[in-house]
Amino acid sequence: MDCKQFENNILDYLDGSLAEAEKQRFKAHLQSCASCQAELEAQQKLMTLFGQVPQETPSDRLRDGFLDMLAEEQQAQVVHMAHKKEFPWKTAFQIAASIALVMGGFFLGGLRSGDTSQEQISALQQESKVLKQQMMLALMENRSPSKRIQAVNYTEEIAQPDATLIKALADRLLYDANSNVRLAAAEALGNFKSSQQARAALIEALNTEKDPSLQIELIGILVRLQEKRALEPMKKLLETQETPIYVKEQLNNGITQLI
Amino acid sequence: MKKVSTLIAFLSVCLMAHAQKSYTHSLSGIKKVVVSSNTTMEFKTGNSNELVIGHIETKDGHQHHDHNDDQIDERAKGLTPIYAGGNDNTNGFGFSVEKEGDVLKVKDLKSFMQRSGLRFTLPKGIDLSIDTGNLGSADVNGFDSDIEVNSNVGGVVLTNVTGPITARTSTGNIEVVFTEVNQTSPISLRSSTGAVDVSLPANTKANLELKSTMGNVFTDFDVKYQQEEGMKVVGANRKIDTQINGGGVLIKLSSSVGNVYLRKK
Amino acid sequence: MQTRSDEDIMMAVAQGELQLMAELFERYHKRIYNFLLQMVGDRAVCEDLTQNVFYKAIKYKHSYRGGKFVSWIFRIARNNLADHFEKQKRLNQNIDVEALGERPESVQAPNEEVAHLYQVMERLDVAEKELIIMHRLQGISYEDIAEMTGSTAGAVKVKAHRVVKKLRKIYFESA
Repeated sequence: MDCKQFENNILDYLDGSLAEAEKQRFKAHLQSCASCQAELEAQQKLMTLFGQVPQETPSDRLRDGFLDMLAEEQQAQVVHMAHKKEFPWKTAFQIAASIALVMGGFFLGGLRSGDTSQEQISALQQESKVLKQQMMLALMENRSPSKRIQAVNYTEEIAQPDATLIKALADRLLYDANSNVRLAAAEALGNFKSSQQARAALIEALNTEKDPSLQIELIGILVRLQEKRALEPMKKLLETQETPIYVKEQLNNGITQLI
Repeated sequence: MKKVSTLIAFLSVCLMAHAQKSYTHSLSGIKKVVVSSNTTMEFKTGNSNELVIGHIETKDGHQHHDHNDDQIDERAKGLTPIYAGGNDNTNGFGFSVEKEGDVLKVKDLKSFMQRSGLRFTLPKGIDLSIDTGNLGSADVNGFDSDIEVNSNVGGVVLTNVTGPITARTSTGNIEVVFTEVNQTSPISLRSSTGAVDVSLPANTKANLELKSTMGNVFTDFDVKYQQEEGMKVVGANRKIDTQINGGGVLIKLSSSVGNVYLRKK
Repeated sequence: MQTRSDEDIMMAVAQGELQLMAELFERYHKRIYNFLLQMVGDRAVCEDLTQNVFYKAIKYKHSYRGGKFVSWIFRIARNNLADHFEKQKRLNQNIDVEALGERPESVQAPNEEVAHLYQVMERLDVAEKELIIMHRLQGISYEDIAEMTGSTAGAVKVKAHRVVKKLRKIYFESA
C-alpha cells in the first residue's frame, strides 16, 4: 500500500469497515510511514470533533406545523375532489376583458404624451401578464394530463419566463406522474437556453428519469444545449444495467458530441 | 375419447357453476373513472349512468371466466380471500372501488394469472384514466371524453373516439381511429418501441408534431413540403412540425424505435 | 410485529395514505433539521425549511418510485437548500457567495475546538460541505449519497476523502 491508497482508506479504517486483508496492509504502511501516521492522528482528531457537533432537537413548533400541514393535506385530498378547487376562470376572464377594454380606451383616445399614460399602460400590461401567468400555473396542476400539456406548451409563447414559471416547468419535468407531460416539460425547458435554472432541471431529470424514451429526449436536448455538465449523469446511465440498448446508443452519440 | 367427454362435462359444470357474472356501480356524481388492472381490458359505452365490470365475450357469445372462479376450494370454506392491494368491496369480484370526490378509483386486486380479460361498460362522456400495469392491454371504443392510457407491454387501441387522448406505451402499439377531433386540448400518443398508428378525418384542423427517433414517419396527408401522392416516407429521425387544414389542436405522435403512421379517414 | 421499512411506508403514502407520512416524519425530521442547521445555522429558518421538505414530500408523493427513501427525502432537502441559497443571493446581492451559510451566533459550539471546526467548514464550498455533513455528521452511506446526486459510490468515496484531507489541512494550518 502506498501513501495515496492509505489516504483513501483512512475513513474506512477509522470506521472499522476495512476488510481484513486491507486492514493488514494499512497497518503495515502505517508503521513504516511517519507522514501517514501524522495524517491518521489528524483525522482521528477531526473524527472526535465531528462526534462533538451537537445534534439538536428542533422545537415543538416543527412537529405542530407538520401535523397541521398533514391535516390540511388530508382535508384537501377529499375536498379537492369534492369541490374541485378550481382556478376562478370566470373572474379571471372578466378581469382580462376589462383590462383589454381599458387599454383599448387608451388607444382610442389617442396616445397622450407624457410619462404618466405610458406608466399606466405598462402597469396594465404587467397586470395582464401576471394574470396570464397565474392562469398558466393553475392549468399546470389540472387533473387532465392533456390540459397540463396545454399549459406547458403555452409557456413557449413567453420570451422571458421568470423563475416561478421555470420552477413550475421543472416541477412538471421532475415530478409529474404522466410521462407525456414530463416530456412536454422537457421540450419547453429546452427552449430557454440562457436559463441556468432550466438547464439544472434538465440535468437533474437525467438522474431520476426511468422512462427510456424520455431519457432519449433529455439526451437530445442537453446535447443541443451543449451542456457539458450532462456528461456525468450520461456516463452513469451508460453504466447502469437496466438502461436499454437503444438508449445506450443515443448516450454514446451524445457523449461524443459533448466532449 | 373418455378424457374428452370428461373434459366437456367438466366445462359444462364450470359454465353452470359460474361464480359471478358482473359487478355494477352507480356513477352518480362521478365525472372521472380511474381503472388499473393487469389483464386484457375492453372499454365499451353503455346507456346507463353506471360502471359495469364483466368478462370479455368471445365471438360465439361464449363468456370467458376467471380461472379460479369455478374451482370449489374446500379449504377456503368459511374464509374470505384477502389481497395485498386493498379490500375487495365488490362481493368477491376482486376489485377495490373507492369514490374520492367526483373520481371513482377502480383497482383490480387479482393478478394477471387469475384473470382472463375484463370488459368495462361506461357512459360515453365519462373521463377515463387507464393503467394496464405491466402485462395488460386496453381496447377502448366509442367515448367522446378525456382519456389517459398508460401501458407497458400491452397494446392500446382506441376507436370511435374524439379525444383529448394522452397515451403512452413501452412496447405495445398504439392505434387510434378518431371520429372527429376535439379541439380543446392536445392529443399526445407516445411509444418507446411500438408503432403509433392514427387515423383522422381528412378535414381535421390540427398542428402536427410527428417524430420517430429511430424509425420512419409515414403519412397520406398533404404535408407541406412533399408533393407526391400516396403514403410517403417523411424524414427519418427528424421531428415533423406542420399543420393540416390551416392548423388547430396540437396532435403529437412519437415513437423512439417504432414507426409513426398518420392516415386520412 | 416487525416495523415497516421506510420504502414500504412511502409507497403507501404515494398511493394516497397520507397519514402514514407522520411515521416518516418521526423517523427523519431530526436528521433533516440537523443537516439543514449545519448548512445554514439559523434555527428558525431551518425549521421552516424542514417543514417545507415534508410538505414537498407529500405534494410530490407520486414522484417516489421505490428507491432508497433516505436518498429521495434528502434530495428534496438539498433542492430546498439550493432554492434557499438562490433566494438569499438575490436578496443580498452585495454579499458574496462565500459568506452564505455563515454560522450566526445562534448556533454555539460546545468548545473552542469545535468552534474552530465550524470556521474551517465555512471555507468549504457548498457541495463539499454538504458531502461532509451528509456522510460524517448524518451517517448517510456512500451508496445513498450516490443515489441522490446521480453519482457512483466509488466516486462519492473519493470525493469524501478529498474533502476531509482539505479539512485536515486547513484545520491544522490555522490551529
